[in-house]
This record gives sequence, C-alpha cells and structure tokens, in this order.
Amino acid sequence: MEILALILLSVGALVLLKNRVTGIIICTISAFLVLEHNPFLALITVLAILNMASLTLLKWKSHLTLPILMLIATIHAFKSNDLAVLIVCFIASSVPTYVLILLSDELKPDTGIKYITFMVLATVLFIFGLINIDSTLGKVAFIVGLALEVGIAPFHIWVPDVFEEGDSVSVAVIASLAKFVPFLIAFRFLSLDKITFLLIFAFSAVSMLVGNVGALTSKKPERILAYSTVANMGYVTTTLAVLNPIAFAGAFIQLLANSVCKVGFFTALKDGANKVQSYILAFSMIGVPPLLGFWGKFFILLSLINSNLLILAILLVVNSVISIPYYIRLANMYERGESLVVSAIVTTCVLISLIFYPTPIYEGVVCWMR
Amino acid sequence: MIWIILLLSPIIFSIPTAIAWYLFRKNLAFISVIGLFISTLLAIYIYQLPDSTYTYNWIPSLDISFTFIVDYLSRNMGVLTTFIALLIGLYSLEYMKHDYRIGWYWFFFNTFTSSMLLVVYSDNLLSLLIGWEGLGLSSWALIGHWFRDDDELSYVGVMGRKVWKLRMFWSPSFAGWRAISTIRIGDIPMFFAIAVIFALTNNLNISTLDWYQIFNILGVSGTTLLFLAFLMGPFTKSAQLPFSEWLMTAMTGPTTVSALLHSATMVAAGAYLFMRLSWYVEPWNHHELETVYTIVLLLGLISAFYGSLVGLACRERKVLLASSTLSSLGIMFAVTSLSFWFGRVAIVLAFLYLVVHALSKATLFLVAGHLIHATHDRFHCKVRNMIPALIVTLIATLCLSGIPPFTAYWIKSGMEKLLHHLEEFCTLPLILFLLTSIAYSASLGKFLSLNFLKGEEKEILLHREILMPFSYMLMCLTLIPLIAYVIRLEGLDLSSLIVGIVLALSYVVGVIKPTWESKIGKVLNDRLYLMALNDLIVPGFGKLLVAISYYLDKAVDLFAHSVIPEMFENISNAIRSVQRRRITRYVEFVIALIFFILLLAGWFEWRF
Repeated sequence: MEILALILLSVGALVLLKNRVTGIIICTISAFLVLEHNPFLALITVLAILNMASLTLLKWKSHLTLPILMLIATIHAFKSNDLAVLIVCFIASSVPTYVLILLSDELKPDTGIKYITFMVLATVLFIFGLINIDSTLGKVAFIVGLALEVGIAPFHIWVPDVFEEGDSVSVAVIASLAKFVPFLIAFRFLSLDKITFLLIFAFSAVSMLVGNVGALTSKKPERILAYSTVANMGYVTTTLAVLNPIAFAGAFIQLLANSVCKVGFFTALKDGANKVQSYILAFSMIGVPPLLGFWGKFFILLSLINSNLLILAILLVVNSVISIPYYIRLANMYERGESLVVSAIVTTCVLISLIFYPTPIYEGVVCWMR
Repeated sequence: MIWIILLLSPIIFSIPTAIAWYLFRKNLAFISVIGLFISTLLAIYIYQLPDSTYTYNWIPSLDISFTFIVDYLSRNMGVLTTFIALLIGLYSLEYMKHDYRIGWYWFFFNTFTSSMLLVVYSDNLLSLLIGWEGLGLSSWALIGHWFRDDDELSYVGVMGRKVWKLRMFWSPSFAGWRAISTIRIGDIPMFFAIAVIFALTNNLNISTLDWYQIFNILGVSGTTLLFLAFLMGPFTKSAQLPFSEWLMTAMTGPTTVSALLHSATMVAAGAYLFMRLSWYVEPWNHHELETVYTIVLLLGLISAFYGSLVGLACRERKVLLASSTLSSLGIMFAVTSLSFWFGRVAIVLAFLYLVVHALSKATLFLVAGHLIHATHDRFHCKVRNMIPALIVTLIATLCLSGIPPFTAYWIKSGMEKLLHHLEEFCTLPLILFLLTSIAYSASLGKFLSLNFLKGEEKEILLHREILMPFSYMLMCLTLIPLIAYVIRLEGLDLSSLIVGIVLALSYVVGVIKPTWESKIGKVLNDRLYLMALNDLIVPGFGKLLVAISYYLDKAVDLFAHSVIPEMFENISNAIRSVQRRRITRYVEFVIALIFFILLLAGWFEWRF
C-alpha cells in the first residue's frame, strides 16, 4: 500500500506543477492510502494533512508532497521492526525538512546552512550510534545524535535561530512531523544502563529548565515557540529513562499534542488567529485537563511515578507551572485572525483532541511498542 | 416550667426597660425589679425542695440535656444570688435614676442575674457554659457601662498619672475590654477541658460523671493537666493571681454593678464552680489530684495575701473593697482545696464563707456607692451625718473580718483548725492564712475609719434617698441571724479565740491609725505593678508578634516579588545570551560538547 501511495504521490507532484487543487487532492488521497485502522496513526495523518494545508501558504508548488512523504516514512517506521528499514525511514522523514527550511518567501541560505549542518552531524551520530547501539560509545553517540536531531538542550543551540529566521510554516513541519521517527527508533533500540540513564536524566532535566526559563523573557513569538519546543522535547526525553508502555504512550501523545499546537501557532503567525483559538492552543500546551496536552503530561507523569523517578516528575510539574506565564503571554500576542482556513483547521484539530477519550489513543500508541 | 420562669423572668421583665426606657424612665425600671422579685420567690420555693435533679432534653442525639440540680450548694447559692440581686436592684432604682443608658443597664443587670442562676442550678456542663459566657458578656457590658469615659468619677486610678510606661488610670471602656479579654484567656482551656470530658465519658452532668473512668484513661499527669485547664476558667473568673487586674479596674462600672459582681455573681461563680466540682469529684478518694489541689491551695493563699496587702494600702473606696474581695476569693479557693485532705467539711466551710462574704461585701459596696453618690469623690474622705451608713459599715466589717462573736469568726476558726491539722507543708499555709486575716481585718478597719471617722472632711449632698439605705440596711440585718446558723459549726477554742483577739486588735489599729505614709505602701497601692502584665508584657508580646510577622511579610514580599522573578530573568537572559547567530560559534560549541560528553562517558566507563 505504501508503494501505491508513493507512486500516487509522485503523480501528485507532477500534477501540482500544472494544477494546484487537483494535486492537493491527489496528495491527500495518497495520504489516506496509508491510513491504518488505528486512531493514533490517523491523528498523525491528520497532522500531516494539516502541515500540507499550511504549506499552501508558500508560493511554491510541488513542496506540498513533502509532508506526505514524511508521513509515509513515519507510518512505515511504526510498522517496521527492521534496523535498515528504520534508518531509511529516519532519513526519509528528516531530509524533506532540509528542503523545506530553504523554501521561505525571501531566500535565506544562512538559516538553511545552520539547520542542515547540524542535521547532517546529527544524522551521522544517530546512525553511527544506532549501528553500534551495544557499545557505550554507540549509545552515547546515539543519544547525542537524537539530542541534536530533535533539539534537546544543551544541543538545542540551532533551534531558536532556525525557528526565528525560517519561514514559519516550514518550521511548523520541523517542529511537528519530523520529531516522531527519532523517538520511535530510540524506544525500539535503546536499552538502559548507567551511563545512558544518567545522560537521559541530565538531558531531560536541563532541557525542561532551559526551554521554559529561556522562553520566559523571550520577546518574539517564534523564539518563545522555539524554547517551548525545547522544553517539550525535555518532557518527552524523560520517558526514555523509563522505557515501558505507559512511557511510550505518554511520549507519543505528548509529541502529538506538541505538534498540533506548534502547527497551529506557527501557521497563525503567518496567517493570524483569534484570541479564542490562541488561548485554546496555549491551554493545551500548558496541560489544562480536557485538552490533549494534559493527557500527554498525565501519562508521562504516571510512568515516572510508577518507576519511582519522583525527581523527574516533580521537575516536570514545576516546569509546567513555570511555562504558564509565557504561554499566556504568547496567546495574548495574537491580535486577531482573518478567519483563514488553516488556523480554523488547526483549532478544529485541537477540538477533536478535546473530544477524544484518551483510551483509544493510548491503545493506538501502545500497540506499536515492541 | 418553674426553671424557665426562674431563669428567664429577669430577662423578660427587663426587656420593656431595655426597649422603651426613655419614654417612662422610672416606672419601667420598676418592672425589671419585679422580674428579680419573681426569681427570688421561686428560688425560695426551690430551697425547700428535696435533693434531686430535673432533666429536660436538649440535644437528644448526643444525650445532652438541660439538667438542673437541687442540692446543698445550689439551693443556698440560688437564694443568696436572687436575694442580693433583688436588693441591689431596689438600690439601683434610685442610684441609676439619672443615668444616660438605663435600658442597657437593666437589661444586662438582669441578664447577669439570670446567667448566674443558670450557673448555679445547672448540673450539665454545657448549659453551665451558657451561663458562664452570659456572665462574661454582661460583665463586659456593665463594667464598660459608662462607655463615654467622660466622667472622672468612673475612672480607676489617679488621672494622668504615669509610672515609666504604664498609664496608671483606667477608663470604663478600657476596663470592660480588659475584663472580657482576661476572662476569655481562661475560658478557652476550659472549653477544651469540657470537650475532653465529653469525649471520654459521653456525659456532661457533673453529679453523675464517672471520674474513675477519666482517671483511668488519662493517668496522673493527664488528669492534672485536664483539671488545670478546666480550672483556668474559675481562676480567671475569680481573678486569682496573676489574672487579678481586671477585678481592680472593674471598679469603673456603677457601684451597684461592683456590688453584684463582687458578692454573689461573677467572681463567686468561679469559686462556686470549684466547690461544686470538688463536691462531686470527691477528691479525698482520688490520689491523682494531689498536685492540682496543692497548686490551688498555694495559689489561693498567695492571692489572698496579696489582696489583703493591697487592700491595706488602697486609697480608693471601691478598689479597697475589690482587693479585699480578691483576698476572700483566695481564701475560698484555698479552703475548698483543703477538701482533698479533710473531705466535704472544707467545702461547707468555704461555702459558708462565700455566703457571709457575699452579704457583707454587697453591703459595703452599697454603702460605698451611697458615699460616692453623696460626696462625688471616689477616694477616701470623711462624711458626717450618715449614721445609718456608719452603723451598717461597722456591722458588716465586724462580721466579715472574723472578730470573735460575729459571723465570720466561727467560720475562720474552723478553717484555722483544718489548716492546723494539715501536715504537708509545715505551718506555711496556716501562717499565710493568719497574716492574710490580720491584714484583711486591718484594711476593713481602715475602710470604716477613713470614711466615717478620720481623714479630710467633705461636703455631702443627700438627695433624700429612701431605697438606698433601706436595701443595705436590710442586707446587713441578714448577717446577724447567720451567726446562729454558723455557731453550730465549731465550739469555742482557746487558740482560735486568741487569733480572734489579735484580729480585733488589728482592726482597732486599722481604725485608729488608718494612714501611714511609706514607700512600701505606695508600691502596694500600685498593686505591686501587676498591671504591667496586662498593659506591657502581654501587649509587648503581641507587638513583638506583629513586628515579626511584619518582617516575615516583608521577606516573603521581597522573595516573591523581587528575588524569584529577578533570578529567573537573569537565568533566562543567560540562557538566551548563547544565541549569537554565528554558525561557527555554534559548531564549535556543539563539537566541544560532544567531545566533553564522550570524555565523560569514557571516564565513567573506566571508573565503574
């Protein structure tokens, strides 16, 4: 089915050059071709389609296929258990962002070089570490690669600049869809020993603190979102210290919540959003109960407490509290939306996450834990 | 039914006065006295009822009920209370005729009486508490009756005098506040003690409480603590040391109030409650209570000694009487606590002393009120042409001071006998008691002498009062037949007769030489500066608390409003300052970090 989807996607890329609307429809169909009977993967599909929809704000044409390509790679990675296939999926879900970061309204090669330099370094370390995952050196290289790839402090150094200077809709893809596969591979192949545990512990704690405290005094919304992404990666990284099904579910629900809200915020930066939408997004990021952001943090906390990692749990709660002021400030920065399609779609997505009872999502995630 | 009328008739009959006194002043006040009269009749009726308890359901689910008890203590005390209240009520009709708050006065006067009756007759600790709190409220209202603080006559102490930081004069409103605040300090431990008693036994009736059970559960130290907590109520109510100051400044109220306060209500309530408790606890059967009763004995004797010494040196009429009241209350407490060693006879003695003291002290206060009324001076000064008052004062002081053929002598000789047989503390209690008695009778002699025989003379303005002399004369006359009642107690004894003669001598000395300037006298007149506790130490402690909480508050403010936000701001700026937008610096940073981590991992792998 994935082969069919890829063929259809290449057809769609060609059609896009001629006719945008038809091309978008073909791309959407190819996205639905890989749709599994699983609520979590369905939500990722919805996320990819939202990314594609937000990318329509750029003037280019065939770049709209890239999020669908990433989607296919991500979903295939979920199904696969083979090291080589996973490496391919990792590259396939990471490389399209190199292109996307260069596609801004005015060309900024500086930003692209910043991003691509660190991504290449990250990919090399990641794959090197993945192949030598049994040795200490391999594990360390793998974790450092992961940190560079998704932007975990103290390897977050490229994140604020890239997020600020890049075009916000392409940054939205980097902040959302590109984060799944690295963590999936980490959950599949990482095994804990002392040094791994210490590294993960230190990285997650530093990442939460740096992200949230850094965001407190940032002025530009892009920078706030960048630091918020760092903080969220910190929350997700804590689960790597646990590595059990609940942690897995927590990590991916948190990733999904983070992605949805980041897509919403970044798209709204370009397109505007009204106060209600921005506040709903902010509340989801803070973790106000019925919203998706709450369930992510809830499962992460549950797994941490079950594994007696109380220090990390307390740090997480404290950091969630620290994050409240800047999220509210961020929500206040959005003056008014011109009621454009994308922000509306984003808001609908958050509302859907509101309606979902967490159990099906939880089960949808957990079944991929091998 | 009879109980409801007894308890409520004074209040109900005072309501017309309270509401509409300014329409027909005098007539309505008369109605309040009718209420008191009805209560008196009922109390006399109750007097001849057999010993029994009357139970009326109140909170059935908790098994709490209004229980009224008729026994030796309550039937006598009830009659005494209502009788004295009635006479003082009659007196007040004239004394308070031109007051600016007649309604307030009568309502709280009668509430005072009712509350006292509830305390006297109720067997249930919870209903007793209602009366107890009613006493506190009414005492606040009546002591601060002249709330405008505009009449110099209503103050206590020399106006404008200051010793170091102490203001040595007290206004009525201040005194009212001091009274209620002091009393509350004692009430709160008492509440908790009652709660503990209820929690342990599920029963609040004093007469049927299972004390053995409490003693078994709590043990010796627990019982001691429980009793001391409970007795904090009576101690503050009866102004034992160190809570005595409110009693002295309570003289700012109208004299009738002082008379009622110092004879049969309020201060007597504390001593009465202790007697009633001892009557049913039967401390002579419980060795656990030795510490408690020893403490009460010593505290009572020391208070008595202190009171009598202060009485010797006082310059104000009413304050002299107040300090002698303090002395008598100390004696009551001490003698009641003797029941631990000698059984119920000690309680009976203390109670008889309470009766005699109540009647004579009320008389003396009424006389003092009349004198103040006539001379418009609250300090001692000589008056002429008030022969009835002179005779009445003579009889009352003689009866109270314990001079041989008169009433208190027989009681005091009984007390001396008990103290003589007390082996525990050598002769210390007996010596304290004798010294107290000597100073006490001398101070009463001084009262008589300075007001009628010696001192500077003052013009008097008599307003042809009838009810005022009538009521104190009547009250004084009841003291004489009491001799016949108490004379059965003890036969004549040589040693007590000698003591009696010594007392008489000291009384005569007090009459002949009432004033003697000395520094000690001045200090005693200032009541050993005990008011520093109320006016400096406790408020100082409060001020200290306020200051501490102020600085804590400041610290919290500083911490929450400056330190934490600035700290976060600085950290945040430091975190953001890494971002310089220079890719070469970034790459250097990342490579260095990677190698650092690899080194760390290698070191870690090598060590562990």
